[in-house]
Amino acid sequence: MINLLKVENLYVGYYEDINILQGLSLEAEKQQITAVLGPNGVGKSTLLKSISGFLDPNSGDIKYKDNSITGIKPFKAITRGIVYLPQQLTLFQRMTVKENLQLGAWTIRRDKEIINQRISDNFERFPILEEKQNTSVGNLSGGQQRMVDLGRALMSAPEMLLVDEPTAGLAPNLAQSMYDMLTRLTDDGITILLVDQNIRKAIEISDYIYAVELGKNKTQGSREEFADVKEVIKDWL
Amino acid sequence: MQLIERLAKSNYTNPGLALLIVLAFVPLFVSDQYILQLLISALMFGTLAMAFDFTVGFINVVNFSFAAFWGIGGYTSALLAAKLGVTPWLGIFAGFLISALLGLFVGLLTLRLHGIFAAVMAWFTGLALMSVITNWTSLTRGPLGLMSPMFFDTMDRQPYFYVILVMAAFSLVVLLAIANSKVGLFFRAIGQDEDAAKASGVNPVHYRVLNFTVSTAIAGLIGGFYAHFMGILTPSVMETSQTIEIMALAYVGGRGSVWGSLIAAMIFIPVLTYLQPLMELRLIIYGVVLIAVMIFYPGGISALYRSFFVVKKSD
Amino acid sequence: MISGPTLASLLVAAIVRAGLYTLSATGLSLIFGVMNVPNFAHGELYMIGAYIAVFTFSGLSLPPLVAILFAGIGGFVIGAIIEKSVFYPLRKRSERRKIWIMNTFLVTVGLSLLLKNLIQVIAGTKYRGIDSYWQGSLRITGISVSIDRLVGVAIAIIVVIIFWLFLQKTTMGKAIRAVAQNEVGAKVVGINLDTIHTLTFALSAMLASVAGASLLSLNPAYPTMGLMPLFSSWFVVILVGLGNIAAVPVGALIISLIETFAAYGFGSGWQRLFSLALIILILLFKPRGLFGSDVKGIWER
Repeated sequence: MINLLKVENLYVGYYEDINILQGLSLEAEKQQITAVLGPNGVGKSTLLKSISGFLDPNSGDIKYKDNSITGIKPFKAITRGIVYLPQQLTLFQRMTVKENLQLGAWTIRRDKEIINQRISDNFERFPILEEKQNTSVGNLSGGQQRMVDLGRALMSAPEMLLVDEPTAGLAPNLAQSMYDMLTRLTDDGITILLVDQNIRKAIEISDYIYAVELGKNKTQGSREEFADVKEVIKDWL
Repeated sequence: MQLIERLAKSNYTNPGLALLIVLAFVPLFVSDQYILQLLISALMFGTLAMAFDFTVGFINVVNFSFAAFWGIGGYTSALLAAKLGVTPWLGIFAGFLISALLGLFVGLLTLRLHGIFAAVMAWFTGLALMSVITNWTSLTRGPLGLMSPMFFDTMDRQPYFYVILVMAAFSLVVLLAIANSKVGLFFRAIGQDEDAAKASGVNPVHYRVLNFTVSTAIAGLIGGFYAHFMGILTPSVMETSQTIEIMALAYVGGRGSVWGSLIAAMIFIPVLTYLQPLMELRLIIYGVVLIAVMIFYPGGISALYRSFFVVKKSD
Repeated sequence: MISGPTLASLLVAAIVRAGLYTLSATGLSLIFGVMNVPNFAHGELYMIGAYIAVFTFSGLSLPPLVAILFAGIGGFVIGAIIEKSVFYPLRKRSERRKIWIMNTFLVTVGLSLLLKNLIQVIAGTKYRGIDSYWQGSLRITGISVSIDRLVGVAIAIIVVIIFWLFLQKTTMGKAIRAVAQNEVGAKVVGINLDTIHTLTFALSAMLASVAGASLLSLNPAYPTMGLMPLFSSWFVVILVGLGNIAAVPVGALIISLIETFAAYGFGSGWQRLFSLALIILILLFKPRGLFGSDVKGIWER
């Protein structure tokens, strides 16, 4: 089990004196899905933002492959192989599916061949996107946009994906496909740090889970240890 | 030190009023016309800046047309005096009223909008007003300038000094009185968080328009003074660049303090005028200072003052 | 009624003016869309181009096209410097605050003052004009049009088209549009926002500078010359909708037609009042512009 990501004693907030995360620590193993669960507002998105460089921590350390990446700039995080997929879609609405995918490969933009290869890969994963490749993203359905979002994130061949509520607003069957896709991605070698409100599903596909409350670690354990989901959910209702 | 701290805490004692009181005695010792001229200029712009701050520092609207109201006040008073023989002493009140009315009108037009939007709308409205004054040459002689009777027959600056001093004091007291009243509280509430203010039952548009009107009214009053002090008016007083000079003073003085603008004017106008050889640099300095303050010290002079008199909250 | 030839020459004048307005308004629109900066100093960028052209053409006797090219390059470089020294620090300091737009506007006001008076110190207040870049005139449908103006418009149109292609077809252009459409998304794919901002402002300055340089025979260079292009650019941009680059040529044509005919009918002093009146009406009743504003949330701040 290779430890890819190590977060130590993280204090993060939007203002210097107000910390949402208060001393959070966690580890993510390679090629596994690690879930971070907790009630709304507890700081899960904030965690992902600070790992990917979108928000600088006030104190604490973040290590990726034993190198400190605390306070890194977002575009540097991507070159290291960390891609953040925010909760709200961040697609370029007035550009086509293909253009969005192409921009996903911004960090390797000079390598046209690889880009085209990866676009093909994405079309294999999401056949509907091939059909709609010249359609403006704004004209796609919610589910299709999520596919573009994920596809775009994969264009830079990330090592680790930070996924924030990937199924918010999706119909159950689409949500299931998304979860299946995430599992497939780890089989392909990608490590996933997952934040989700859907506790049951998240536990189902994760290898290791961290429960966070009030910005601090509450409990953690493997999927088996979280088997009795009812207990966990009861805590948060 | 305790007494000073208590005074500093009070909303009514402030460097602005203190300054005005001190200034009242100045002509007893100083008869140099040049210095008096400088002080008159500083007081004039200081009052204008205070009125400007009343809007930007409270309801958070940058009135880009401010100078236009100053001009309108001046032209109203000047025209009444020149064409109808009305005495300047009444004329300035006419200027005051007309500017207030125009301010009301413009305010109603622009203040339903927000932020940059309102600023731009005000800006263009001011431009429109200036355009009218410039082109209505049959009435105003446009860029050639309108001659306007002076307040006094004497060339001595001293009486003018006292007139503007009274106007400045009047404005400061009135503005502070409003600022410290419930109305002032509403202004600030609207400026900070309009939705919260609305939720408390305050009608934002009404109060914004009220604030705007008060501000422009004072601008008009000073405009009247300007007309009968300078003796000639040109449309260039209504230019955006004039608003900018006033705005710079308000910002450097510290938004929302009212008196800060007066102090800023007292410092900047004499300093920049004394640097006569650097005349062209005057506006460069304004520009740099404005940028620097916006980026590095948005609190301005009033924040500086407050930091010296840190009042500890009682437990 | 206006006679045929007069109408034709008015139209020609309007088209020339429209070309100019398109060029400089496009720059302003770009800034709005990408950086959310309401640039009050836009006219000064135009002025910089005019002065560079004057110095290279009159001073160094370089050929007209070279002078205009220099103006464009100079504008680009100066724009980049301005962005890095003024907007970048402001952005860093405003990261955790929401008063970015108003503050930036005011900073650009200070910038405008600075540039205007800096030029005055460097070059004096004298009007510096030229007779013309190119001699001669053509007869088009019976009216005489100076080559100068024709080339000026042609340059404006060509530059705008090239710029448009740049935005639509090149990767860098797409990156700029990406930042305008979704800033977070741009960060997510690894675009360096600082670089894009600098590039965008530099491009905007370049467009304005080329505009300032190309019609030097019509509009001589003097320190406060930026006022007119400032107003007209703002008018056009508000008319069509902030950030809506595609619609700028249409807006430019509308404004210049109004101004040209108003000047003819009422005298040149009154023409601004007509555009002002139109814009005020737009702000009151159709604030997002005739064709819709691309900039999300700018009006709410």
